[in-house]
Amino acid sequence: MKALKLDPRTKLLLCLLVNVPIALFQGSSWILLFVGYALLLLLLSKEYKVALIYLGMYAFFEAFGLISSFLPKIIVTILSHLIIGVGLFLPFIAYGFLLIRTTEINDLAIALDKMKMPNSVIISFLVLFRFIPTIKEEKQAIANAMKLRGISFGFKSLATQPMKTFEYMYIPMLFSLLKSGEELTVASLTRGLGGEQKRTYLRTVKMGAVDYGVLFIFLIMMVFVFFVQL
Amino acid sequence: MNNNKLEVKDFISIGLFSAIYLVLYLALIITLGMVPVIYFFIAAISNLIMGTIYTLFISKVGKKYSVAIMGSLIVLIVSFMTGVVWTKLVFGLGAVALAEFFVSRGEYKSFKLNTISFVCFGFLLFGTYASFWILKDEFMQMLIEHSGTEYADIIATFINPTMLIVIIVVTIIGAIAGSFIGKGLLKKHFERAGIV
Amino acid sequence: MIKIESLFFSYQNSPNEDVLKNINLKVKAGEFVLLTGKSGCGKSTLLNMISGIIPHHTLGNLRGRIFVDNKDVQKHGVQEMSLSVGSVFQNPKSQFFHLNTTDEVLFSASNKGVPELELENRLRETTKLFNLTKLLHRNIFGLSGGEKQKIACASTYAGKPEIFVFDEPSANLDQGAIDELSGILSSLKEKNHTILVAEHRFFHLMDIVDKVIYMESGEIKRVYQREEFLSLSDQARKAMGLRDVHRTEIKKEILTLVTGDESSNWAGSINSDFELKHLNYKYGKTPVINIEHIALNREQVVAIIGKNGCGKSTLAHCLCGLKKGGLLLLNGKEYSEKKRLKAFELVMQDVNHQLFTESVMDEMLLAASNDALMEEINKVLAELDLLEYSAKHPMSLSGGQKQRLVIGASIMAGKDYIIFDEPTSGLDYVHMEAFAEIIKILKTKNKLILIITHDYELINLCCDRVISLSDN
Repeated sequence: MKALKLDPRTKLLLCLLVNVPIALFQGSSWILLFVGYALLLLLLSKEYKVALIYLGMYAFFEAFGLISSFLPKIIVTILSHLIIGVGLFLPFIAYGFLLIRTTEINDLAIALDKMKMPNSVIISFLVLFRFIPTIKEEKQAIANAMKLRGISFGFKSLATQPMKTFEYMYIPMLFSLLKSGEELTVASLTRGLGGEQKRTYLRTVKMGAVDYGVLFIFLIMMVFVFFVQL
Repeated sequence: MNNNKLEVKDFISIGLFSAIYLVLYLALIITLGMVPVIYFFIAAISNLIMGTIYTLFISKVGKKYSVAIMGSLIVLIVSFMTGVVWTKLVFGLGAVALAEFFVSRGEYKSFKLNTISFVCFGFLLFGTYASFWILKDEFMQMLIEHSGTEYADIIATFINPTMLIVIIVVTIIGAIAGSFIGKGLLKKHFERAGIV
Repeated sequence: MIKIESLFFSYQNSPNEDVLKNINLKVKAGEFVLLTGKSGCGKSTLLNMISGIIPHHTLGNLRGRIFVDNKDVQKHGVQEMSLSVGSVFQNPKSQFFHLNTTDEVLFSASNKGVPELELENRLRETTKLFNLTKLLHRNIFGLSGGEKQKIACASTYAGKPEIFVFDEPSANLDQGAIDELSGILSSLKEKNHTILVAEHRFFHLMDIVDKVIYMESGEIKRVYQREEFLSLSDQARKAMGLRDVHRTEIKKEILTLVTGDESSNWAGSINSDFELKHLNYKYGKTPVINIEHIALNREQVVAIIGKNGCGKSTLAHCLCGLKKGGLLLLNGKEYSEKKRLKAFELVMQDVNHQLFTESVMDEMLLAASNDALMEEINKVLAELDLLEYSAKHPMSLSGGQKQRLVIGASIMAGKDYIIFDEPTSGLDYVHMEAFAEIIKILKTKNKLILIITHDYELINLCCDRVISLSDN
């Protein structure tokens, strides 16, 4: 069977929509129905690993609740922000996973274009993701240079002279990135970015029957739970 | 060509600076996110660091809506990655709107207004913390049903009003300090190197 | 195709200094023009003007007239000019917009609003012309410099401009990638495109070039026809600060090390100052470099050559202690990775990563041991021609000055083993010669110098021997 491929807009909408049942039915087990739906969509998209990771997170949360009364108080206290964080956001995270794991940045950008987002947002958005690996490379190169110069970028140096250590890492990185940014600007301009013409794409991003189906089922579930709860 | 409209070079700066902000923020979450109590002060710590980026960004781009676009991108991406809870969006976009308001009042040149703007901007990811307090009651109810009152009580000790005030105050102080650090570093390095 | 009449230009931040003076130039359709001259002679400025970057993105004062493809550049923005002119730049790392190669190839075309069906055709045609089948649908960050440059050319081509402008496209490439680039250039020429290339190393263009423009401090000094240029004497050429018109052959002793083949190890003399043994570095499970034995002495300059990806950088990183591997003996004593960091300096290709402080003096002090005398620092700065800049911010220096500052810092840190990674990429003959002089100074300080390079002219100028790494 082919992996399910949803339009990014469907996934964005689901991420937002899930707020409604969670706000309405907070604390009830019906929430699980919506979590299950997200998991089902993940499985249909053949994202088995992510689904497993999610189940693991859920299991951790549940298990911690069960054994917490046997644990020393201090441990529960120490971990409490994690418990709250995970517990509070778990249902949202399920839809978040669906969005990030099954969506290519460029498809999302096209979806944003179709949603009539302005050029400024779409270009900035694409540039943002394009620079993340660059930042990692820069960080590695500067960390190497620091080692050679006998400056460490570790816990000890950060603790003893945080400003200096931080400055040594941060300033060359910003200089370097500003330069890359300028070079990218020049290159992009000469490749016609930001021109008058409407951009075209080879990729197809379209709301299909499946998308409407997935959204429809979600709405049916909401209405159903609403009446049962009543 | 001193027009005040955003152009391609500005879009690229916005993307670049948002990327730096995001990467640094995520690095902080990964290293400090597991540490109890400190977790609540990540926003404050990040403000110390991000002040420089913010100052540099403003002096590089300094056009209407630039702060708004950068802030919204960061809020939306973090929210969609970690689950879109309405609190995150409301607080985040609210903070960004205020930041844009103040920075543009000073026409991107007044240090005082830039600092106030950054204090607002410094709250853009505050929605996550805010959720703890706003959604507290339902959450506690669920915890009690799940694992008993005692457990819920321990966890509830964190989520008290005093704690919230402390977090807010420290975040503000962090932002003000960050803005001053940013001004200092800009003068020390970027102006001397002839970049801005 | 291009018509420039009495053109003057000065940048906004230094309005009294004309970087281009009285330029008059005509380029016919289908012509292949090489622009050359020392760094700072204005050739990049001229190219940026043809693509409209100047005056629309980089601001300044432009006088005179410039028409490209019958368009007045001053009246048409960069995006409009991009319909006629496509540009490829020096740095392969910073000129791509997308993370995915296929999107990048179509970037220019899709910005110009080429209809979907036509996009598909262009992708097919470009893939065929540039032989991209293996490179499509990949993450650009996984590609080599040469492959990135190829994608940049492809992206420009798929935008279907009439005129192609290349600004030092080969500066960061190895020999093999340069050959491939000149292949691309000649197929563009066959398709009757007008091509302008600014280069310092231009031997690979000599078969396809029609006209050579020699520039000096902002002026066009002379326009040569191909034959005329080729017949310049070596002496005349060097006096103009230009590099060789022919492919340079290495005139030094070459030792070939086949990595991964144990029998090909090369043992230098025993009791050497520097001995590296059993280096076997793997990335995951793929072997990157495998060297049994290298022995060298100080007061030597050794070039390390080999194709990109043969493990040269890994070798450098292992020697410096940035990566773990191999057994290293210096003066007979074993050096752990930690100790290596103190004995070795690596001067990176991008020296911007290696400058941390707010002034040249601070940079030297940071590297020096605490009791370093001011006199000593000043002496080193003077030797490196940096004394007058000692209060300047390192980032306000030129590329060559930054490089010398890193060298100075390594002298202050008392490091005796200095490795250079591509120190002369993108340098003209004059600057390369200046670099070779610095190397000679270092050599007299009883240091061992290893230079990873593709620059054979540099090797002939200052290296004592050559180690060639090959992977089979």
